[in-house]
Amino acid sequence: MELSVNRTYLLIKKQLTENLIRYGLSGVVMCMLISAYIIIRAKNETTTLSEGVIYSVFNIAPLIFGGFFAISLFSAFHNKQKGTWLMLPASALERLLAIFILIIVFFPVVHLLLFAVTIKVMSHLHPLVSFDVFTQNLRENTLGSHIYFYYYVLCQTGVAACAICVRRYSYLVIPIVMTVLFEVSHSGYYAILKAVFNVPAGPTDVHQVDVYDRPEKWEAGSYVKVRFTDVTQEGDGKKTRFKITDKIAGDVRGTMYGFAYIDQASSESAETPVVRYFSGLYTGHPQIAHIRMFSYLFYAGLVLTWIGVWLRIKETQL
Amino acid sequence: MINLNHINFRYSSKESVLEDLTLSLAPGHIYGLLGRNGVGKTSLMYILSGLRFPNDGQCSVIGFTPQQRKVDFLQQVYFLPDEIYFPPGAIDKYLALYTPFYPGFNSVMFYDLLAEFDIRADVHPAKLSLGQRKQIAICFALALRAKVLLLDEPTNALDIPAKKIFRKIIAGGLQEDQIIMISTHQVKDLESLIDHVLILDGQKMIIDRSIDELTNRIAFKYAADLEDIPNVIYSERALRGYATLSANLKGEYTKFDMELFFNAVLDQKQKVLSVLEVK
Repeated sequence: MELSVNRTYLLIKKQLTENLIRYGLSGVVMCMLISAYIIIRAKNETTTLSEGVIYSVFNIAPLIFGGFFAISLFSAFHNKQKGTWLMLPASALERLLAIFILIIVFFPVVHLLLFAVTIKVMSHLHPLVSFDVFTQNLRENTLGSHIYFYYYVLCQTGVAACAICVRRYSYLVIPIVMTVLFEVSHSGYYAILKAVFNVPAGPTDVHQVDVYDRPEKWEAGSYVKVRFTDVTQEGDGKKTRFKITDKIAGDVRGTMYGFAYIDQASSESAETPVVRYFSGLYTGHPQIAHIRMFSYLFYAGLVLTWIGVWLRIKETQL
Repeated sequence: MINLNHINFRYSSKESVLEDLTLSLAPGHIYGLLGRNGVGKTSLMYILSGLRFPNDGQCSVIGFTPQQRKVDFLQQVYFLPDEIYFPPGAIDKYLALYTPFYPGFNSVMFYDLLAEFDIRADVHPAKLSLGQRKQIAICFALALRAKVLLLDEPTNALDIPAKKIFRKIIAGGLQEDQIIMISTHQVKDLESLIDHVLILDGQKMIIDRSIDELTNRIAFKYAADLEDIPNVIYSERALRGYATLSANLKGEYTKFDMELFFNAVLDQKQKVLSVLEVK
């Protein structure tokens, strides 16, 4: 296998330099769409936008924009530049590595920077947008970041596998294919959980809290908004990390992590109980931990898919 | 240096493009690849450059199997397509992005060739006409000093002065260890350049002869009346008479007329092949 770091760097440099204007404009459009979405969401809010809103945009945006970026990287295999691209003295592995680095490393870093700048600018322009909420969540919700990064890699791997095969209308066909694949695999995954491990569909009761923004499905990785109605532990006004355990008759059905500001404890007889909201990531039933092999299979699947993309690059003809 | 053994090639459709093609090309020559539209000239160049894979047979180009597209192979074999793509930006930006991939690239030669075509070094190729883009691409291809240069319709879109310069720089730039293959419809443009003729017809390479071999066996003559020349195989109306092609039975030296020869092969294939003793 031929692999040169220098040639891989040259391929990345060539890709970025040739498409500088295109990527620059795409970045501006991405920032504008993110800003527009946050402003629309803020219309229904009276207090500072929760981290859930900002964080969900932060995580979902790269899936969408990163997907289009990945499709664009593979367009050279199908358009008029194909001959030039295939004749460029670089091995299939170097081509793959250049694309992989651009998708998995370059885009998330650029996205993080652009998103941070967007939120920073918006925090000066819009009273309900807080830059601190974004940065705090980024620092503290590492589990969520890991899970979403995994989703990002999973999603872009699928896009890459489609993009190397789909010759025409790729910007239209691939999102449709990915949506169908996502729905099928998602439903299949939870059907397996239910059928094999009897993981329940969701809690009927959450210990000490009311579910404020109940999701349609309770799934690992779901962002859930919770309202405290009975906070007995007095807080000092600082942001406090909570672990909410979902129990039925002492049986732990799921856990959830989040942050909330607790100023004072409420008494059991208080007429106006302290009500606080927070959003968190539902990590699901502990039994999920026992089925990590699914995760390992997914990781193996990712590696195999990228190997498939590499073989496809090797076999690509004009 | 280039060896094709029993190559069969077809696109996804069932119709065969190349059938049992066997060919051997040596360095130090300029090969002219001729044939009708759609006969497989460009497909053959794709196979030689690794852009298309043959269905059967062996293909070796300067010791490499093209379809493996090894880096060393891609650095030494360059295919110049008919349609030229240039990214946005000036020439120096293009060179900065592409030439690091080619260790043999000679930038002094490139700018000298560019000057021959009277193209400024600060132009943006993507904004130029097809002919000018092609001139830049030709300069780039020659400056790579690749061992195998495959040029697909290089004179398409070139104006008359540019065609003259093209002939000059190709003839002057050929190295001893280099093979240049030119596919063209415009045979007149390259008549004085090519020293070996390859003609594809009916999925086969029916002619694979040097110009010397051809002129030894075939005479190209002009006559006011066809009866003036015996054993005419093929003739075309010309100014004040006929351009004729006949068997060179007396060993005369006549100037090779590539267009006449090409037309004769297509029109009187068996007779021409018989004179050339091609089985």
